[in-house]
Order: sequence, then C-alpha cells, then structure tokens
Amino acid sequence: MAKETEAAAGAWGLSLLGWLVPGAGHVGQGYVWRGVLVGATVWFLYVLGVMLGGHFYSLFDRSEGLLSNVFGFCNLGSGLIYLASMWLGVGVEDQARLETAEYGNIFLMVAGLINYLLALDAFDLKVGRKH
Amino acid sequence: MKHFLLMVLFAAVVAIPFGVVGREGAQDKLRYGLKVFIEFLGVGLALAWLLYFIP
Repeated sequence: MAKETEAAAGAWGLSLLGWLVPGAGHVGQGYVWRGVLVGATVWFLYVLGVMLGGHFYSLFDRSEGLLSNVFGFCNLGSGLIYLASMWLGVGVEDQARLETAEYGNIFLMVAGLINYLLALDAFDLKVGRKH
Repeated sequence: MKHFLLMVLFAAVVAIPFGVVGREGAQDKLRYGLKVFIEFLGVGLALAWLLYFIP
C-alpha cells in the first residue's frame, strides 16, 4: 500500500514537472529522446505562435467573454513558458493587425493543450499503464 | 499559399506528439502519426471548400 502511494506521488510529481517543463516528465523517467522530441514540438509551436503574432490570454481575461478564460486555460498548459512569458511580457500583446495573428493564437493554445497531454502521458508511463 | 503552408506545418508538428503518445511500438507510432497528419490536412481542406460556398 505504501509502495503504491509512493508510486502515485512520484507519478503526480513527474506529471507536474512535465507540465512545467515540456518533455521533462518523460526525460525524468529515462525516455530521453521521446521527451526531447515532444518537448521540442511544444517549444516550436510556442516560438512559431509568437512569431506569427499570437498572444497569450490571461486566466482572468474577459476581452472575449467566457471564451477568453477557456483560451487562458489552454495557454496555461505551456507551464513555465506561459508563466515566464506573462511575467516578461513576451507574446502578451494582441496584434490583430497581422493577418497571421489568429493562427499564432491557435499555435499557442495548441502548444498548451499538447503539453497537458504530455503531462498525462508522463503520469501513465510512471504508473505502468503504458510503456 | 502562406496559409496552406502554415496548415501543413501545423499538421506535421501536431502529428508528432499524437503519434508518440497515441500508440506503442515504433512502427505503430509512425503509422498513427502519419494518419493524424493526413487527417488534419484532409479535414482542413474539406472545411475550406465547405466554407468557400458559405457567404
């Protein structure tokens, strides 16, 4: 029983790590190349999203009604990337004048959603549901 | 053309983690990643044509 609790705690810890740093949840379990590859895709989507003129939504943003909160939740999935960007002011300005700004927003949101998926995958790997 | 290339790039980049997470075994991962990539493109093009006829 204590062993199971310990394994679950480890899985939650790795999942949290994976959310904070994309791919780290996999790297921390020895799946180095898998972690690097999927982490790189999140970073790539983030960089491209910002370059295209996308911006992060705050969790408490109400500029587009309730949808803004949903967008903010999607963006939060990027973990430290999101928190650091909000803190440093990178990619937080709405650049609607750019024709690719909407694409940029989608790239940023999908980066966050994929990172949620990766964090859950790291959890599954740790508890032995996957290999 | 720029929009289409962005769609292809998006489909390719998103298909990678889907392939990695969605299946087990290298060959199954690759096959599933390719399937997701093609599906993204197919649905994107189908929606584009559909929306073309909607004013």
